[in-house]
Amino acid sequence: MKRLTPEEEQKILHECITHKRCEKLSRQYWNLIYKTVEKTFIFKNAPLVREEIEEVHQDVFVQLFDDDCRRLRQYREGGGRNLAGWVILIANRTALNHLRGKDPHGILGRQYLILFEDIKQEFDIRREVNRLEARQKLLKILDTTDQLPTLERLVFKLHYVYELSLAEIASHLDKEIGNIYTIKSRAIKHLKELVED
Amino acid sequence: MKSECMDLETLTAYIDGCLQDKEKDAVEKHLADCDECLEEFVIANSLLNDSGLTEYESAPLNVIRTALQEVREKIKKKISDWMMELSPPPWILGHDISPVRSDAASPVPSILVKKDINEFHTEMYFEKAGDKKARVWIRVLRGNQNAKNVSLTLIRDDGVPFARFLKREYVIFDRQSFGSYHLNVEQNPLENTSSAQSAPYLFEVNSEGFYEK
Repeated sequence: MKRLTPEEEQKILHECITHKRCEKLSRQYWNLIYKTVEKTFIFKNAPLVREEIEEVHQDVFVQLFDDDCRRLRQYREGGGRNLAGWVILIANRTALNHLRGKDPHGILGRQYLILFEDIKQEFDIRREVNRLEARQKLLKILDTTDQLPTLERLVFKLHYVYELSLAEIASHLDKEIGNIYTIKSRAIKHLKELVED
Repeated sequence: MKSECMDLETLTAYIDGCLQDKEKDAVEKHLADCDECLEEFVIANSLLNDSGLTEYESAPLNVIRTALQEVREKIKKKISDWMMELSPPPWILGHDISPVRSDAASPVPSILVKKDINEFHTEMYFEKAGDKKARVWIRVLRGNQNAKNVSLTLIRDDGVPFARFLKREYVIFDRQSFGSYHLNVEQNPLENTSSAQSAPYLFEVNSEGFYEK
């Protein structure tokens, strides 16, 4: 199926919301929703069980058509986002809610895991000969991030927890890359001071 | 996700760069504080920039039709929010007012729903009764008269049935947990000469309000 023009999007939306004829919209986004759910599962390191993905796939359609198509009625053109983008965001949230319902501590586990691998060099943790001491230092760094100003905390987490490059962070936060580099350097400096204190 | 977490429209507006500076600062503060929203923000950006997701393959029409039929069975429509200022309907006033109503200074969230179920006009009055529970009064009319010899069966989604026989003006189902229900309103089978099959009324009551399915 081809990518829809804004006029075509409005037409299938109107058919669905006003006349409750949702077949065209479902056909258009059927596989897009399936793939979005699958990729959210992959991002969360969740096992790719076909029946479970199909269950969430169906839940996304329930979200789209529930309460008189409330979610579809919320769609607003603009900001470069087309209807497919809105559908992707709804599918992502539905899949995340499903996975979080099963494993409420999934995010915490991921944070510790990545931090352990990536931040050792910046804080010279290799000097700690004792693994327990190294672990305690990492945990202290994590706890201390709460004391950073908002943007430093945000950039720190995006870079060290989610492994985004500075260019990606700049794009996501709609800021200059030089600005992000400065914020990140300031965050590291502040954290080192706080940890040493 | 925290109770004050961002709705999807705000997250989308932030990603699209459509927020004013003040709103943008508030979103960034929330993202810095809330690990769940930050995770959603990161994955959302990754998906929206994923060229593999721009393909619009479809599935066979018969597969979609079957799936849509299953989806329709799960869809619900909001009929009412919980109301703070709603008075109990006259037909229960002076009768079985909930114990929590004894403190007149603190109004109890409540909902009134009127619905035709099979050949009966049914009125359901819900009052919140503790955590995720409600007390339900149901009155059934036939024409303009109170219906007689009618049985009401409330079946929760876990299959537990609660049955009452309408002997006076209304019946009460006390401390019903929030969730999905089927309500069957039927003439006493011994008196029911109609050949028509009675259809249950499907609804959900939760902390947000009352939904019809």
